Amino acid sequence: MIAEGEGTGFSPPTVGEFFPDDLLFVGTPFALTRINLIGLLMAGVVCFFFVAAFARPRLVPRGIQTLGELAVEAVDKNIVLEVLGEKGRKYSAYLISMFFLLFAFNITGIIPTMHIAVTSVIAIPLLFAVVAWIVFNVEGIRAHGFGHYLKMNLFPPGIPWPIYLLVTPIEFVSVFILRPLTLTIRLLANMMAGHLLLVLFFSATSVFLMSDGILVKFFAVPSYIMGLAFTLFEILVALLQAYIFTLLTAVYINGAISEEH
Amino acid sequence: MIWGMVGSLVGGPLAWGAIGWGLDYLFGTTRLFLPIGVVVGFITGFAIVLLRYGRDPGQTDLNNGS
Repeated sequence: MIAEGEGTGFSPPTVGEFFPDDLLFVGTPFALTRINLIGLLMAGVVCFFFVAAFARPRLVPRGIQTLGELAVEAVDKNIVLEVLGEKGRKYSAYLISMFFLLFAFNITGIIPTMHIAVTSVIAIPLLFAVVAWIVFNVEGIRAHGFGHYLKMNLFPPGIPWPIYLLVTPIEFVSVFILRPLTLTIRLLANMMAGHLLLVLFFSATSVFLMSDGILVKFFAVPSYIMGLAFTLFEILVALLQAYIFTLLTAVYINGAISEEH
Repeated sequence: MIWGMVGSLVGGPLAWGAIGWGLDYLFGTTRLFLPIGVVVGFITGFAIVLLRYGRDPGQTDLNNGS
């Protein structure tokens, strides 16, 4: 309202932020937007980092290898071994790759010139969630056989059989439908909300600064401080969301392959 | 654990709401089985959470089947 009154034309952020125009291969099924290009770039950065760290490993790590080993060990120890134990070794490569790709895709939300998280477009979190869904179901079926795996999940032990009529549909929806959906929506909503908040605070700062009234200009200070604070907060969110997504995938795999459920 | 609770609490009304909607469609009724399904799902989901997570770890049955 103030902005309109001053004629500076404040336009609040909209969901259109997440659907930019195509930049490359326009008009083909392979059209790439700015967000797709950032995703490809960050995937390349993650690959380059790990290849550079482990292409020629030394017994006593130095330089980028030290950083790579620290990063891998942090995820391996705090997620893979913590949740799955020694039997989780075979999933280490998958879960560690997932964590670092997700972190790289999340952190682009605060990298200058990029300023949008790749995971704030639904296709990316959905793809990760679908892969996690396939992995934990396939591993569960491999560990127990199809029939026993379904029985484990749909018929929890220790309740009278007529109650299964009520419980089984809920268990089905909860395990096989809601898990990938909640993984997707949790990550997507966090990254979208973070981006909208940052755009809101910084565009408000700009509008306040450009306005004519001295008193209105003063509001740019708290708005800018909030923008900076949320930028720092977004680093935490990027890390936390990558951690939660990977941790939950590990928990689902563990639930699928364990005998007790 | 918390996500399991959310899954049951959300999954209950969703699953039984969908079944209720299907019954409404089948019998040509409007807004009869859908609300019943949602209520049944909510109560059952709540009961699952209570049975599974509302007991001491030493107790049995729905609590991880141990």
